[in-house]
Amino acid sequence: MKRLTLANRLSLRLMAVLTVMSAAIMLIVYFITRESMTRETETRYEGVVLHSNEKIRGVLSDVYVAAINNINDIERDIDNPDRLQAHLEKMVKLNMYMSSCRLIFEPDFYPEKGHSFEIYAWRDKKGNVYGKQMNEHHPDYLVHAWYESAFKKKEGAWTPPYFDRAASQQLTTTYLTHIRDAKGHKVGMLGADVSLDWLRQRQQRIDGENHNRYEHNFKDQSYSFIIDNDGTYLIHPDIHRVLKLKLQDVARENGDKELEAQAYRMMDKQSGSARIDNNGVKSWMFYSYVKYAEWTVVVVVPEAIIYHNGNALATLLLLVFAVGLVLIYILSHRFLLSNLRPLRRLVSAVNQISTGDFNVELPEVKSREIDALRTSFMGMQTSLNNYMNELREATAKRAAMEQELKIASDIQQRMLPKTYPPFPERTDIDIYGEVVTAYEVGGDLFDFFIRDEKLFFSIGDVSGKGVPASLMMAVTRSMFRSASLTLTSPKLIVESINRSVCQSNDSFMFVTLFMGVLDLTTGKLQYANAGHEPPVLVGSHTRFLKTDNNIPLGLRPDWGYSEQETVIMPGTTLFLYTDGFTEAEKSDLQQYGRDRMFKEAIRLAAKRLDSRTFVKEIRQTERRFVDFIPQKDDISLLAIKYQGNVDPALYYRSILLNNDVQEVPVLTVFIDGICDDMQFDDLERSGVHIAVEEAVVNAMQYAYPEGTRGHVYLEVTADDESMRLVLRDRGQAFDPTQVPEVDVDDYIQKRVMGGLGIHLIRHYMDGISYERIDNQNVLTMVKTIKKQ
Amino acid sequence: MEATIRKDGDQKLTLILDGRLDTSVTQQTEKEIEPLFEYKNYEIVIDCSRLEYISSSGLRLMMAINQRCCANHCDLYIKNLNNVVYDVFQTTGFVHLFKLK
Repeated sequence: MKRLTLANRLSLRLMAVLTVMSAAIMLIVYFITRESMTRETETRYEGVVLHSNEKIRGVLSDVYVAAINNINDIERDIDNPDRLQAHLEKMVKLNMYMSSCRLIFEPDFYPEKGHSFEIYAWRDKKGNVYGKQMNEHHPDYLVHAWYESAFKKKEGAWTPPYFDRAASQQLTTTYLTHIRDAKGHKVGMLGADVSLDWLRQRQQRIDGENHNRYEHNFKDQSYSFIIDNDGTYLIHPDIHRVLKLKLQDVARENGDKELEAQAYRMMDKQSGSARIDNNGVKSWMFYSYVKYAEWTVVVVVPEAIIYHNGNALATLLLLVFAVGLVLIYILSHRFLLSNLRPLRRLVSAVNQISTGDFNVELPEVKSREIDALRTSFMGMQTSLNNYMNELREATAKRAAMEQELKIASDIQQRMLPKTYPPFPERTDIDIYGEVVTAYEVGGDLFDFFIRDEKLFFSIGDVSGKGVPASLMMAVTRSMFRSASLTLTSPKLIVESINRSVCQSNDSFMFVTLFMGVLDLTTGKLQYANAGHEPPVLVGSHTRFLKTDNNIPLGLRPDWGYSEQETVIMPGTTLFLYTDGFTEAEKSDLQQYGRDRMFKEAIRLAAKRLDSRTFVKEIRQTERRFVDFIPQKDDISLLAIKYQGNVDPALYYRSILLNNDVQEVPVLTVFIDGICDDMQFDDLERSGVHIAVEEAVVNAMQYAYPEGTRGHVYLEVTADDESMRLVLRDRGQAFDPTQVPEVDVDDYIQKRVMGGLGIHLIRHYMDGISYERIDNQNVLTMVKTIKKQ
Repeated sequence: MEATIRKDGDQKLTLILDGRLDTSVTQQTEKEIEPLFEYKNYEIVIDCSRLEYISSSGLRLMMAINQRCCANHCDLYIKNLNNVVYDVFQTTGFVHLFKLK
């Protein structure tokens, strides 16, 4: 994913916070505004209704008052009917809402005026007032229900509105009140008519005003109407409903239960408002009961108009907030971008530094934070330059040091014997050694020389590595040389070296050392071991040389080192090494190890290798084991092969066996090798095998008591004419040649075994002799070699 | 050294000796052929075609086989002796002890 810039992230966060905040504010403002706007609209329409109500009441009240006030004048002139007409005309003239008025008397009240007496005054459309006697023109008024019911009432009252066909041709309501004679008897009725045309026009006008002022976008959806106390429409935009239909009937027909219920509430003289479904348009209905007239004024307004202003205001708020947010985002983003621009310039400059151009001029910046960064980069530049200079110097010094180390290494290598074979004129000794140092100079050493037919040799390992170790090594080596020139005992030599090393050892280093003196005439080996790895005797009986535990050199100047001795057989190789060899590690940290080295030594022993080949091959086994990874420690290997005083022209082989018949397979391999060398045919080969096996098994079984351990040593020499096999053991004296010769036929018949072995030896060998020398049984067998 | 006893049919079996019968293996081989002495009135053939070498201890084992098989009334034969082993048998007179096939 692509990472957002700081500018983006900050702007987005600001946006998020602002959005949440403004959303909360907007919601609150929206609801409050909508509520108040709705309330305001509702109040407006309620006002419209109330105003109508008041107006109706005012008009009707004026007419009523006028009628009441004139009753007295009329009753004063009740005996003078001709003057009554003038009262009526005055009354109409003075009251602009009174469209007409009339006096109706009980029948035959004025006999001279006829059976029915009714006078009438009205205003025409131009405003002129006329009067006339209706009498027979309006003959049926006495039987009219409205007249009769009004007459029967105790007080005056308004008639329900009706259509005045007789006079004004308009919807009219009339206030009827009684006329009484001097005695107080009801004699007739005064009727003051009010034409409702003004009311119709007023409603139309107010609706029109509402439409113009508030309902521009709603296509005249609101309207008002007035109903009578029985629900009959008195005023309605639909002229066909007036006086003909009732609100509750219309509601019932349309199945509008709510409207019907409201209609009954209106008839129950209540005022209020309700939500109704006006032919699919959700609307509010406001109504007000006109007390005096017992009518109800109603306004129907679609919801859309009620909520319109609130919604419009809320939308406007939303828009302002949105624009504000976008502006904030753009401004903060641009501000950040412009403020971070120096940072980008700094980054490119620092990138240039990382390519190695340390002296780049860093750009000037205004921002304090970025300036701090710039300052620290400048510091880094200076440091880098310093470090580079130091590094250059150090590298130069190091190169010089390496050169010196190389020289030291050369000197060290020169100290070690390096010409092989070291004693080319000698046949009795074959030596090969090598040191491979892990660092330029190492702490391993070996050395050897011959004095008075004795081979003095040593191998050692200085603790630590590098120059100090190599200096210590040089000291040790020269001490070995000087001590060995005067002393012959390894014990004394090692103690002498130890004292010198201790003296000059201020750095607490120590040296493990094996030091030996080999008498080349007798094979006697004297040695002392100062904490070094035990050497291996590789030959017919490959084994570790037994070494005492003495502490390494350099630790205690007064330590008495022990001396040991053994005799080594001719043909044996003394193999010395340092711990770098046995502790060589594979990548998984598994060590080559002493056991593995010992097994490889046994394997190589059978090959009877010269010292150089032996060292090379055993080293190869270690290299293969560690998979040729570079060595971590110095490795020194030294092989000393002792040939003894054997005529080199002579064929010589030897083997040392334990007194165990399970050694026979080892013997078989040994004899096979010799037979190969002698180029014997199958029969000769088999004969030699049988003779040697019989002789060896004899020695094993008869020379040593059962359960005791011992060795049988076999030497084989040969020249062109014969092969001599000399068998030695240190067991009790036993001369197999004294066993009487068996008569083959005899023992076959008697089935008695015994003497078979010596019989076979005699058969396959050309000579056999026994000697007892130095407590040893020595059995010599000779086989003549056939001339080819 | 390996010694195998193979049953060839009614009252017939073969002892196969394979390898070098020297002193180091005699004891082991003696154990391996022990089942041979459970068979009575059998014709037993010792197949020496793969016997490379025999020393006196091996000869002693052959003698023991000979004696115990005779006690079991078995007919004992030796076949396919190689030159080297035959030479040993001749030298020691064992050729007279066994019927050669």
